[in-house]
Amino acid sequence: MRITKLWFKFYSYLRKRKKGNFVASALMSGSSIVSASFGVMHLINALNLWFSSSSLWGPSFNIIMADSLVAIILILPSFAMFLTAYLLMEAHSKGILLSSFFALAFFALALLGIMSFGSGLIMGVFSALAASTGFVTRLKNPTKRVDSPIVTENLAKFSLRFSGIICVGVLVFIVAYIGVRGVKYVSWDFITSQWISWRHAGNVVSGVIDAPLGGLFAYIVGSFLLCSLCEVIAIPLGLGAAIFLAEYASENILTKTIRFFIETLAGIPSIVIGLVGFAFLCTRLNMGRSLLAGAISLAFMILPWNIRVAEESMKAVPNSYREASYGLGATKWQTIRHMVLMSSMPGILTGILLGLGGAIGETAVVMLTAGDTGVTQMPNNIALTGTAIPTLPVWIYGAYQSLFSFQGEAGQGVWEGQNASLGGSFVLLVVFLVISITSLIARNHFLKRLSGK
Amino acid sequence: MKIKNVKEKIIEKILLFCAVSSIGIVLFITFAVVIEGFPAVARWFAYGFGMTWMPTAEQFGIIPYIFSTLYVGVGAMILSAIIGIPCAIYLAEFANPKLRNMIKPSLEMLTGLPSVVLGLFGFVLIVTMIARYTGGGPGVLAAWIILGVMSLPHIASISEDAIRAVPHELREASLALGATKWQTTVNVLLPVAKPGILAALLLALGNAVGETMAVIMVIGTRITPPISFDPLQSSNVMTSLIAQEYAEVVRGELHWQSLFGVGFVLFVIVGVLNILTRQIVSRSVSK
Repeated sequence: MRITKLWFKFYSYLRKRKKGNFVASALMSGSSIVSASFGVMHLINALNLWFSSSSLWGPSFNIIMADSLVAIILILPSFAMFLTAYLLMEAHSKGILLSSFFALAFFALALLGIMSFGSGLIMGVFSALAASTGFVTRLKNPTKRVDSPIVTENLAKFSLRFSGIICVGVLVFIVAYIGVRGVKYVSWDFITSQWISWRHAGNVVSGVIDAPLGGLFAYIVGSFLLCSLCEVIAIPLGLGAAIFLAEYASENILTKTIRFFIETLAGIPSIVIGLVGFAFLCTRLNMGRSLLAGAISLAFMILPWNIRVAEESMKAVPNSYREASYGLGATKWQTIRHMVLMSSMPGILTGILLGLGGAIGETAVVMLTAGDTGVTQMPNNIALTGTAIPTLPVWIYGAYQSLFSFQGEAGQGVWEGQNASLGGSFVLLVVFLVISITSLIARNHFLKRLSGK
Repeated sequence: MKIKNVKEKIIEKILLFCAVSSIGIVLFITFAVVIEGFPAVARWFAYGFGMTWMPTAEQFGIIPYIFSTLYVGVGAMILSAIIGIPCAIYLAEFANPKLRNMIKPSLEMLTGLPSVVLGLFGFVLIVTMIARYTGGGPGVLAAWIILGVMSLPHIASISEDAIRAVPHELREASLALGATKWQTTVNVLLPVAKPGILAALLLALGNAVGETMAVIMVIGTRITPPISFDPLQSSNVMTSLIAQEYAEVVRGELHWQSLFGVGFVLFVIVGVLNILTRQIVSRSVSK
């Protein structure tokens, strides 16, 4: 019932169009289908290759993923051509322009030998015919010379939504890919044991390398210690600065300067902060690569985020709250402590979590100031200075580096090595996602409460 | 009463100190980079900037690095602008709440995604893809793709803010004249929001230039980057150069100074980009 209704709708839509437009659109759709078949054929080929390989779960999985990505890229032009067909159907002038562009492009690709001559020629001829039919129809109908803005609107809406979906797709794809490949390695053992030998990555590579792939426990503890110490330094400083900027300062040259420098600090590349920490804290002040040096450098990095978010959330507190407090005879500091800080707490928390999420994944600064890939164990007595500590992001970088030592080995060794390092990445990713989702929820809650709902 | 006043004053001074500390930190970083790197920078200005980087031969030429850093950064910026700006328009003008609530959080998560994880992803999948289809390997193209993903959320969210900041009267006037949403966007909103979008692009460029770990893992780390526009060649950028060589240098040596010189140049490039961004934004606001 529903299908017949839809078909009737479609049919009456087609009946209202001019015949020439219909023909042009059909030609363009044909060209689009030929173009799409490239992507589909590519995908079928890749699947065929995948199923015929000895094991589905191995290096061939990576190849099918790569092929699928390329297939998606190959299908994209056919989307554009399909949209052109829609434009031709609606007698839109851009449709004629686009289809002649496609015709030229396909002729050029066929002549240059980038795509096979026959298929390029077929698609080029189809597109050229579509363009000329559309053009002739347009000439014949002098009443239909104005492009319908609604058609452009529909087209724009569709393409813009597509770009939005790509943004979501990229994130989902990256997380899913790392999860699918790494999750096999994420076991309780992998996370908690002090040391798992590299045997875990398959017997092929046992004994080839002894560091730094192994149990993540020491690395997780190291990251946790480093980020906590970093927040201990950054929170008071950032919160103080935010309170001053939001509550005390008027807009004068001093606050403008302070804001300028905070923005500048946010823009300094992390590697430069790491380099300065390495030169001054580690070398000149003789801290060595250590917990304290790393925490101070990381605090430099996340300070601007803390300040910015905390200041914004304090400014979002309605003035009536403050006035009520002053009206009861409270001093400025009492007002700030009991009214402003308390009611903007979720916002401040968001900023802190945001900084924490940045700090936990930061590698460059940590590698230069807290401990590089050579550190594989937690020091027996953890000191603030003098002893380098292992951290999770640096573990991932070390795992990446050690992948190169398998290049001579069988493909399976590289594959398993990649899986192990992706397992570590997955642990870091999960920690990061938990932190950032918590901060998003905290912010939404805060905004809802302030808007009085 | 007096004690209360004194306490208030002390607290205010402490808070002022906290706020001023960020000035101190920036000045400290600037001084550190200048002091350590000045000899190398002076050398570059006195004896030419040099075309090869070869620590074993005491040659520290920075021209190839400046070229490749900007080449990689600009390519990544263009790549992410192609998707980021339409996405910003969609979020600001067209999106229904349901899709918006999906896109916004995922952009925010993409912003903070650990760069080392993204780099490993690039090395494992994107480089495999490039090797399979072009015969290349780790190189500029892989760095473009990964950096493009990294700067996508910056471009999208800042451009969206810029488009949203366009006064409502302009939008309503255009709609009242019978223009469609798309006509309004193209003819009214985008021209007004142009400075903001430009600022977003520059900021994304600064981010791409300053990124270390994601690049180092996919770019192939050639010791002297080639000055050519071939995107399949392996190359190197300033940030990854520092990350590779910092461990081998000894304080006071020419190599150490040159590394800090590279850090200084990086600092200047990103600083200039940031100041440009701020100029563009403040000029558009004062209009």
